Amino acid sequence: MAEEFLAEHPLFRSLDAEALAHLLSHAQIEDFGPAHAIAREGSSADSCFVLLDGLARATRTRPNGAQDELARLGQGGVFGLVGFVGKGQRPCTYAALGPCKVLRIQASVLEVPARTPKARQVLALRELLALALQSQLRVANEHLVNRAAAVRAPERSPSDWEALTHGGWKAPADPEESE
Amino acid sequence: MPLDELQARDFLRAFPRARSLEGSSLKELLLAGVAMRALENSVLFDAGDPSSCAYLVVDGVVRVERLLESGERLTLGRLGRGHVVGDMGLLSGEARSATAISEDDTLALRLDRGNYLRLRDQGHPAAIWLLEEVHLRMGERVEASYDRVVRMYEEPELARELPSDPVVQEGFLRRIWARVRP
Repeated sequence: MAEEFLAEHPLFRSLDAEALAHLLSHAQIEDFGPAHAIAREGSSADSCFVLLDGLARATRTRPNGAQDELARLGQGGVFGLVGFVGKGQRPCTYAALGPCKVLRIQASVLEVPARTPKARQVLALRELLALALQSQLRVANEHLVNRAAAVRAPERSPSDWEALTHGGWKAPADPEESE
Repeated sequence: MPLDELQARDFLRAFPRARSLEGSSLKELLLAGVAMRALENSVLFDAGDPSSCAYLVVDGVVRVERLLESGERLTLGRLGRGHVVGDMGLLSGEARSATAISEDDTLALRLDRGNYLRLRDQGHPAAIWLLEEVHLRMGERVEASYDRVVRMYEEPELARELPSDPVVQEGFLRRIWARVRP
């Protein structure tokens, strides 16, 4: 199932058959129920994910414990990339919003010797993951630009101001996440 | 001292993780790029420009910014020594999404896409190192953007950066003051 999915995925379809086989040899499909955490903020980013089916969301915790929703992910979404190279920590939690099928790609997929045919395949994969991360950065920056533009709007009534300060960013009611 | 030796020393100071490269691989990387110096306030590229290269910053600071519809400029980040500016120029060649301006005299290694692709197609260790560096730095920027977005929702005025232009800044501070003490 994953092979056919990736072969038609806008990002991964550029991989050749060998690179795709290499990727799949370091990946497995996992199922998550509604509100289950796929990966938790602060945990080791030893894998990244492709959402094969379902809907998920990314949230980040404020110091006071409240959670802000950063993004919603639909079918085909690639996530968990921050920290994936360098085995850092996850900056946010990813949780299923309904039944989800996810392809978990282990970081070991990137570990191959240089100057070999496999290194070329892995470099192609690294490029795709960097492109996905860049897309994430662009979305975050667009969010920032839109937010700044809203804050800087010259004419605003107090109620608008209140809405900007407290509304529009609230994540849906927190589902009870479970392991 | 030959220029390439000077660059290698300075380059390693800026990009310490490149010490994992063998000397010959590092030299090939440096020879694949062109050392360039940008004077203060030089535009490296503008939003919308076609992209075909990246800048590996060895010294100095590059400001990345976007123009808002209001005409104000929003600083998205400041990338200094050890950062890769305009990495998409290597990866996709898409048009630049932001403007990059040197805030100080900036020394950088400019790497063109063609030379990067040559290293990549060899499975060259320098290409592996470079993509790791790009990924790590990009991850840091994503996290910083997330932090800033969250702060902007908590404290919209405090979280945003003061415009650098003193005239704009004065107007900005006046508006803030009016909000605090209507």
